[in-house]
Amino acid sequence: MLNLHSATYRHRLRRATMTNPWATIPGPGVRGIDLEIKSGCILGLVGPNGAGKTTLMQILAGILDLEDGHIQLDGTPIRTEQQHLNLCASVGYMPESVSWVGPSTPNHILSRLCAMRGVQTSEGEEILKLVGLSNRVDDDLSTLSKGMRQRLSLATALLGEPRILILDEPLNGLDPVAQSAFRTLLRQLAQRGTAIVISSHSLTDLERIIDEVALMHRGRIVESGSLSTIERDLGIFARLDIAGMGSTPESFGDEIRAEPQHPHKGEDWAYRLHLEQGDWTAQMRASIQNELTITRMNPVSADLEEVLTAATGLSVEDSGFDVFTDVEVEEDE
Amino acid sequence: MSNRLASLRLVAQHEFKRHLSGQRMLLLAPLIIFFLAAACWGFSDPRFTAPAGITIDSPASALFLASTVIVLVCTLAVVLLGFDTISRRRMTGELAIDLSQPMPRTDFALSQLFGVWMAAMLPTLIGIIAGSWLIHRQMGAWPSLVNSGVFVIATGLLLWWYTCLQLLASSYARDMGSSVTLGVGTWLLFTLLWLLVTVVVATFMGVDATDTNSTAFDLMAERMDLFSPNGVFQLLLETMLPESQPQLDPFWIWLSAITWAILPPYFFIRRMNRIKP
Repeated sequence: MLNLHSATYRHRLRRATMTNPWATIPGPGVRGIDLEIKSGCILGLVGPNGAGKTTLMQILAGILDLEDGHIQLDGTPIRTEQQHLNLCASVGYMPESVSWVGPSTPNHILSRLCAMRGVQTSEGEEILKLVGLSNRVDDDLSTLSKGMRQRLSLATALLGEPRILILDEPLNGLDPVAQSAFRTLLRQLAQRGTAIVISSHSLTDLERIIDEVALMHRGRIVESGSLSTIERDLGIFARLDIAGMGSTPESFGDEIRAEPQHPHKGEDWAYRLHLEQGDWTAQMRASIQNELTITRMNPVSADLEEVLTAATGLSVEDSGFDVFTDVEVEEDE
Repeated sequence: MSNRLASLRLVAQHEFKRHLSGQRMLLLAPLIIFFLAAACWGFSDPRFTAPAGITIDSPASALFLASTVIVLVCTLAVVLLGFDTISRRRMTGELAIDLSQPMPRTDFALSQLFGVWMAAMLPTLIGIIAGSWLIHRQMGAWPSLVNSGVFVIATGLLLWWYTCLQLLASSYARDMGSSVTLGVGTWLLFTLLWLLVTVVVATFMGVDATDTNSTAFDLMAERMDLFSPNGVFQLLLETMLPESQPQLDPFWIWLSAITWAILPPYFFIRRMNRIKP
């Protein structure tokens, strides 16, 4: 449906010189991105701040022109203005955190965008109903909560029934009920064939809805595919948090490394088990449960830091996160 | 093509309505109408004596003097209406949504220009109509159709030039404070400082700027006025006054007016085609 080949775009940074006060140099952006967005597929773009997610999304939405490489819609490269307009007509873009301020109402905003997209104003009213703003259509923007503003942003992206939805951090500001409704809506859209690209800093936000994930770091896609494949490839999926009562077990088996954890209240011991090879099978779990009195047994999903460090080979500090190590936290306490 | 025009018209109408229903307009519209009407009423009063030997013997000359309100108030109103047209959208993230729509950026830029321009023109037109009626009440005659037509066209052009300059400033500004500063700075330059620029240039060119009756300085000032929207506006109006015809050939004045009507929008459209959200 939508393909990127060796897509490169770098933001320009101001570097005034004595001779040219408006001089710029190439700054961060995205480099050599190859990506395929398929009909009916929900693709998660995951990466830390500054990884290039928003830049990539703005390229896909037709806002930024590529410096190098090309973009294809249904196999046709985007070259002419008309092809560019076709791309924009196929894409619904929801930017990250639009403030929505000023003397206006959701109805006015949608009807203005209807005029820009060349669709009937009645469609805007229907979309506002779909995102749960039907009773606030004529309210001043200043009276809308953060979640409602986020719904309004989503409504702007859904206008004109786009074949591709580009959603930049759409879950920000939504309450859990709204998040659940939002996931259901995305699933329904995907089932109808809409391709969806959704970004987040957090894998846990996305893992329940995405079919595939592209992991971004410093302007490049470092891993892509289904989440389970990536986690398995990187060897960070095979973990199990386990706790129980009674005597502390001495060993869990040859291929299992046990890392002691703090037990919760009512537990005598707790471990994080790392499987050196393969995945946890039902048999392996059953054999542990048979031998011990288990109070808790949960698979541990990978978080972004782990996936990122595993994919790039960098340490957490190198990868650009401003995080405390365990030692620093203890010192602070 | 007709679809493009229809979209452009609809979006411009939305902008126009937004500006018209804004809080700023609640203050600006009455001020514009009041100042224009009051100026026409005052300048057409037979008891009023104009300074510097200016004679007000016709509705056209009363209307010409009232044009000072357009230069001082209406142009400032354009600055105040348009300063956040692009900069606010850019800061709030709305511009990213606008730029992702299947509307050519040239059309989008024009719709923004027309929206602000129409919002500034509406109270100005009401003020001109009210002022013309008051001139008729005072002098017993209406300004001629040609005079009124040229006055409205010149006013429309002046507000269009300022709209283009202000929206260009708004598109470059990194915050709304910079946007309003750029707009007010441009307004100050052309409204209050242009005479100083003219004097400096005249002095460099060897023209005596201290002699106010010098025809050489008048010609110099008229030539310099071609580079100022306010100057071109005044020159356009002067072409309709038999007693104070400009020394410059009207061809140059109209050429300058057309250039002003084309170049700033061209730069604004070019800017909008390259703008990043």
